[in-house]
Amino acid sequence: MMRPGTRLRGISARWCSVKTMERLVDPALADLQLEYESAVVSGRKWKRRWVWTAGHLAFLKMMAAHGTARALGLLHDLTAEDRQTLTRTFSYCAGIMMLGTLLLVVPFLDLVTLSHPRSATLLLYLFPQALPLSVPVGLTFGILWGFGRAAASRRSRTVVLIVAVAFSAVSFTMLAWVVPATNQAFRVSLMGRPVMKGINELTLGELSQLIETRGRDPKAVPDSRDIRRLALNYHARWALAGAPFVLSLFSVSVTHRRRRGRWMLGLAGGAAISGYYIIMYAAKELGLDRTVPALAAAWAPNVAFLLLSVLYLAGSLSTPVRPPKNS
Amino acid sequence: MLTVSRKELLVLELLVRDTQMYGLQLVTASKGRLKRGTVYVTLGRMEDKGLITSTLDDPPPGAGGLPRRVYTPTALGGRMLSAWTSGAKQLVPDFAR
Repeated sequence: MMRPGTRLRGISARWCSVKTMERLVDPALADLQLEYESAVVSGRKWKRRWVWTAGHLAFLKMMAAHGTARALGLLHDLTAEDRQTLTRTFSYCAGIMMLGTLLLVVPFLDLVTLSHPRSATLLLYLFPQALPLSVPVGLTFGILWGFGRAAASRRSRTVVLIVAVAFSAVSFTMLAWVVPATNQAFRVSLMGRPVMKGINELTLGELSQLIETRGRDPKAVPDSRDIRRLALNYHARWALAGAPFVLSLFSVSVTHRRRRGRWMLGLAGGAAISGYYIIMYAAKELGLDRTVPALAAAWAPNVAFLLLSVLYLAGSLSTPVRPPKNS
Repeated sequence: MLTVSRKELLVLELLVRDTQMYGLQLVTASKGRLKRGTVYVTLGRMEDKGLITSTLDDPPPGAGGLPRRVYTPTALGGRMLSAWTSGAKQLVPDFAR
């Protein structure tokens, strides 16, 4: 019989350094094996299961603590050049995010007339719905322009990807709870009376509950597209939260080794963003027509860009570094 | 400058008292102040600082089992603990002792 932790050790060995294996992985798994062995000898089935679960949870906690410590240590190891690259990248990101947010808010400004008694509050309610869209756009262009003209180190790339993961988490929070709440608050403030919630005003939990309720009694649903629309909206919120990370990974892979001019990088960014949203809307239609399941339709743009990133990385690793063609 | 956290001081206290211990023994002896999910992260950081050293124990009987790592305080670790303890004693007023 295989000892507990053997498979976990095999997986860890692929990702961790020799030092991490010796200092963290092996001692933690040795403890797990020892405790498991004594539980087996004692013949207590529940004790054995408890040791297995507690040991694995402690292992995951240890790796999370180690990962956090490594990420914080990474910031100390940054060189002056890394800091310059990251400052440039994040400045571009912030600028484009702000511009994108403003551009997405502008179309709704005619709803917020200055004569409205709560016009300032109404304006504030408009910003959260723009952020999940402007954040991936800002990260894509920011990374392309920040990394595309000078070789970014592995440390800089790792920092940018960690920040992208953080932005994905923020986007998820926005899409799951903040946007539905502010959308509804906007509608109620504008109308001046209680308004029934639409799909976009339901939190992720409410949406899931509604899908479950309607799924149990399909006859109660007049339009069969309605239930598919709900399912698509639910999965799309999860998938769109992944966009900051996926598009950042794509931008990092595009600029991995090849140097390009500002215009070329701008075009690449524009093509990436347009491509992502074209795939998203096309897949949504296919999902509504039941050609593809809602889950697959929602995740199609993320999967497509993950594959593109892998292809780009594989391609760039096999070609030498080239300087930019124009300045 | 070498800095030592509270957890690291606790590990040093336990190791100086018992000379050498396993990670899991440290967790048990700390009475809940050290967690098994983070004890090896703390021990690894202390090894990097030169406060403790570790060696591999004999592998357990039977095939495929991993050997346990046993931890010992270094001279620097011992000095660090006594410096901190004497410093702390000076800071505590007489009536509180």
